[in-house]
Amino acid sequence: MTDAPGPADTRPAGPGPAPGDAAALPPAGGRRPPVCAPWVRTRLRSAPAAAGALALLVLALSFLAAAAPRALDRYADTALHRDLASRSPVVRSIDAEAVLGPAQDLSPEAVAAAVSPARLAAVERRLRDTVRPPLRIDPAAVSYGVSTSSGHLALTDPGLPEVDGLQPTATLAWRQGADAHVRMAAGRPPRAAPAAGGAGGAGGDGGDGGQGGFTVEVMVSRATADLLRVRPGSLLHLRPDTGPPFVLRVSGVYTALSAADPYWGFGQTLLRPALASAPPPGSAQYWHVGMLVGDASVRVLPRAGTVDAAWHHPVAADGLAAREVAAAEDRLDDLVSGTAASRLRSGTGVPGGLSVTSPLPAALAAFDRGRAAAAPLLAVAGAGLAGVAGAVLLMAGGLAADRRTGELALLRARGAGLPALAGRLAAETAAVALPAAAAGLSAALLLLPTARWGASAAAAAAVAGLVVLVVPLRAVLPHRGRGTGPARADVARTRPSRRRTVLDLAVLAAAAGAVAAVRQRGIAAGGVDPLVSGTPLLLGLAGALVLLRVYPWPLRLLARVAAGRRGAVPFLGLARAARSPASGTLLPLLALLLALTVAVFGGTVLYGISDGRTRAALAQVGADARIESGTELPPGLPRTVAELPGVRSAVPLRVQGGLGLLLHQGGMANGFTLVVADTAAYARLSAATGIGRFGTGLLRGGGAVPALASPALAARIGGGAQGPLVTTYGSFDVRVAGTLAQTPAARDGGDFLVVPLEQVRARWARASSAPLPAPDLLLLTGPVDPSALHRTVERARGAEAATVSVRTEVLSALDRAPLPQGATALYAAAVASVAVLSVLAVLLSLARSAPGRAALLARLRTMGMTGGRRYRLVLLEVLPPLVAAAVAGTLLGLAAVPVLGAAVDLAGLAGTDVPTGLGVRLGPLLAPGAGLLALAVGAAAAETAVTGRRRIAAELRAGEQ
Amino acid sequence: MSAEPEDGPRQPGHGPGAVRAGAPDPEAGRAGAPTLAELRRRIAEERDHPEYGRGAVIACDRLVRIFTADGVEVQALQGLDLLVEPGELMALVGASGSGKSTLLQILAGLDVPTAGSASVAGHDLLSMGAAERLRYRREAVGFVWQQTSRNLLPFLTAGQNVALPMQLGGGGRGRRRAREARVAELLDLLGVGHCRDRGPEQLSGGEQQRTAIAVALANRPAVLLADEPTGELDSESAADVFGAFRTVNAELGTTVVVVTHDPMVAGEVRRTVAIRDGRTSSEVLRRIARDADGRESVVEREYATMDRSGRVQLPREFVEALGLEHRVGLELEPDHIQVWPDS
Repeated sequence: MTDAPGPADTRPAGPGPAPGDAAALPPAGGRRPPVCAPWVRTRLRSAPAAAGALALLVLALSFLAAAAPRALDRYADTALHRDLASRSPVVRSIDAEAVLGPAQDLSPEAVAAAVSPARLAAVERRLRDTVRPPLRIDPAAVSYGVSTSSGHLALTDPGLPEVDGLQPTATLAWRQGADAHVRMAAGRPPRAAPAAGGAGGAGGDGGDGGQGGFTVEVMVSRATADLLRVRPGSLLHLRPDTGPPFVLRVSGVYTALSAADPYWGFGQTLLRPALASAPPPGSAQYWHVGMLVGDASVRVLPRAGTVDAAWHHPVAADGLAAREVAAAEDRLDDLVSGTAASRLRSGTGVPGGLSVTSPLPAALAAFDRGRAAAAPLLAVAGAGLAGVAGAVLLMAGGLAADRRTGELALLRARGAGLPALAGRLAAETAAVALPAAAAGLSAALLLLPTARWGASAAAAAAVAGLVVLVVPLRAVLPHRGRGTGPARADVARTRPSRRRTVLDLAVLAAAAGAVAAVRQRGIAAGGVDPLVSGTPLLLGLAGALVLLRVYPWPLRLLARVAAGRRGAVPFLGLARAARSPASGTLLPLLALLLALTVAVFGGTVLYGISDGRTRAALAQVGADARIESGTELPPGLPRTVAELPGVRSAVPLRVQGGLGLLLHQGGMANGFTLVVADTAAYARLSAATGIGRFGTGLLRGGGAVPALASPALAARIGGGAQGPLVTTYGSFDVRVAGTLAQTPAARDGGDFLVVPLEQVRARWARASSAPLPAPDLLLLTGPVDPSALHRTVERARGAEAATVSVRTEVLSALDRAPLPQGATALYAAAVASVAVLSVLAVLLSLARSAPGRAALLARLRTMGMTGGRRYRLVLLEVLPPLVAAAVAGTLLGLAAVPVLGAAVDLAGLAGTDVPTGLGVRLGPLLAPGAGLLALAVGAAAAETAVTGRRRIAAELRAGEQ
Repeated sequence: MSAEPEDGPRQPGHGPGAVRAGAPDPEAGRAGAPTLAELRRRIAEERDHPEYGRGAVIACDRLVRIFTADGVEVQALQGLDLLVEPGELMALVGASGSGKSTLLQILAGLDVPTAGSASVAGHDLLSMGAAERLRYRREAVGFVWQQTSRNLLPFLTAGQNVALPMQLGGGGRGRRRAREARVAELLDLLGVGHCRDRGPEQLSGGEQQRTAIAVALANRPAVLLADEPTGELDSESAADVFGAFRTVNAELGTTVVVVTHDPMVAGEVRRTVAIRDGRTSSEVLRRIARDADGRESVVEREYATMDRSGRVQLPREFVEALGLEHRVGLELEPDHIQVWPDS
């Protein structure tokens, strides 16, 4: 007992330190703890587990809070970038154009001066300076140049390929930096200055020739060289509409270094010849080719007539953040038609001025529409997540406060003022919560890199602030009276106070009002409606309040029944369930209810999205795969395709759109699609796909050809035989034998008429000796391999114009669409977070009552209760509130579906045009509640096992504290 | 255990154990020369509200406390009278549910009486506001509860526990030295100076309770209340703890009120007040008498308490012995009153 200071004590010395106290010396190092304890440090050191748990919770919640705005930003940014990247540079370009020529009253010399490479470069610099952030140009993709106006320069050499008897035309172009983008396949780039002189002239002294024309060196792409059958050294002759003829000497043949280079996006004819059409009538086709001239030849291009100077500035796909879209649109407006446009028009020194155009606003507007469509549902998910997180936070704060009741009562009895108590609690909470929130924020900042962080910091700070505020308030408020602390209030006995009744009624009224408003108003087009977003939360809150009032009744009834029965387990378990403190029941119940409501609703939404996409893909394809052609399909194709592995059936159909039928009763049925189908095969197909099922008997019978019509068309045509219907497949009378809502053959959703092939063929055979035109549509069922199908169709002779669409490919394309995919992932993440939070809520509420239960179980073990019975006891105590919450939460989630269903269109999230509503499915409806109950049962089993292994004595001693 | 020298009640009233109710104030007459108006006022006051408990540190008058649970009213205190003089060391005894713990809660400022009046060290327990109640808890009373674990914060050392009430009382950092000195002084006084830097779980039960007494005394309260302070202790530790109460009473002059079941404790104090059915029913006074040979012996006498309207609770044994029921006959003799069964 060396530690006994042994003061000069007049009284008999007290008993020495208790046995086993030898180890209980002052802390190592001999430093005496200060007499006035540093509160925060002492508290944290004394309860590291509780502090750690709080820190973890705050970390997780602040991470969630900080991650949400960043995830939103990133989702939008990624979607925008993928959206822009999926578009060709041509579509995301800011283009400036100048047309210079006689029409602008410009002499060729003036034009030549204006379009010299140096002038073009100067204009380019000017343009780049004008295009300011948020628009960011992809410098590698910038291209500019000058070219002769297309379409008017005919190549006059004989023997060149012709399509409809028209000579090919050429465009002479100069592109900045062309040499850097090509590889010479033969010859060399054009270098020589243009020479004045006639056809075949062997050069000259350069300079602008007179009427005699020019010899200009050009290089052509390999494809063009192949088409025109030229090689380095070949000469071609070009005859402009006005002005002198040109002799073109091919100096080299090139291939693009990379055909995917955006540089070539604006000059496809420079890479390969294109078929052009003369203006109607006639619409005769001819080849059009592009040729590149050297720097030195730019000045003679105006001699061939009007020239186009163009500067293309594709915007970097990843250079624009989603939040900058509005600013970018403004900037684009300014560039295209605002002050910047007028400055460019006058200030660049291009005679006649520049005109700036851009297809980008259309792309951005489409993106905006998609994002706005997804926003309301994301807001619902976000509000739900925030609500559940808040409830869990309050609950955790409440649990932390409840554990400290005794300590606070002592402090209060010793004369601690409420502000002082709250201050101490706030300080110790802040010491844990602030670093944890900072860590959560940092994690969010690091893991989800994006530019904006203000909202994240504010959200994390809000979480920390809420914790620091809630824990002290929740702990101190019950002690504000004059007594020693909160009195016991059992959940099954406590009667709500009048104030509480008023509060409950207010919440119920607000929820009812919100539901009524949402039902009545529907969703605001494309906007985030706080009322709609908050409705699941309000429903959950109202449900929790109602549940808290209703829950004691069955519990009391059960407890009474159990009390009258034999067997201690049900009685003990239910009595303990009924005697859990009422004050600690609301928040866990609320957290669980909210979580379940949001999870059930969220699951329904997610299911609705995938269902919507599946249906959209099926509606688009009509079957598992579709081979479609504007012309007849090659006769062998159906059989070839039917033999592909996985194909169950291949149904050939004949489809003709845009038909009209003169009606006996007057008027006309217009614009419907005729589907000629083999009755049996078509019936099998529609049965397999579930689209437009019908009974085959409908399409039998003589007289007019029996037809199945879309409802609107059937109503128009009426009952009797009508006709004749003039089609590619013959003329015949039809009578409507039945109606079909849809057909797999026509996918535009318009009116249609399905007629049996057998009767059409019979009539055709009577009328004509020629064979019936072959089918132009092939619908496949079965799990066909898409690549094999594509290969087969590509190889089939005569099927060049056929397009193949496979349902799985369409579906995965829908799944992969940038905006919907991001939004769905975000939504799923929010629902998953809610699920995790609800698990946390269950575990927290179990942990709350665990110490008391452990003591009870230990006592019962001393009385000889078996493990199985203890387990049942724990279940009976733990499950009643959870079952109530699971049932009520599921019902609320179910209620949220019709309440919000009218207001929610999933088309935005699904990425389909088809309006997709919410439907109730058993799986997503029951899964969350069942999962939570399973978790609780598992946790109870774990608890029983753990307490069963502990020493009884330790448990009993612990239970008394 | 050294017995304190005792010389009987310090302030004899009208005889040992005399009911103090309505006792004319001995000091009243000694006040200077009162004016006529002053005298009139005093007379009127004494007639209407005779000043009760003047000079007592604890004065409870017709104290009533009613609890309501599930619509059922329970009268824990039914008009309890109690006077405790400054510097007294007294015990409150009574069966479970007799109301003694309720009384102690009220005296500690943790509960509020339903009716009656109660004042402790000049604080009116019924009318004081939140701020005064706080000050009252901090400075006027200290208390020790039965459960050793409930008196001390488990995460603070003994010394820190003692310092805590002083910190709660406020005061600048400059008073740290004074606090340290006070903590050492109190712990030494109670014989637990060696426990200063240990946590409560490292202390024996007796040490814990003595530390708890030091905590209760930290802010120099006028009254120290203890609810079964030795209830969880073995007899030796209990004796130590009770010795600590004595020490405190003798050396600091603190008034000590101990609620106890322990007959040993009850036998060690000068005055024991028994509570029955929410009222004080009897008192035992002890004093040391010296006989002719100079031998000392403890003289113990039990009295029934009489309230201000003259109500007396007859001891149960008396009632049962004579089969008293409903009515008794009374007869005034020159120096006593006779009580007869109604027959």
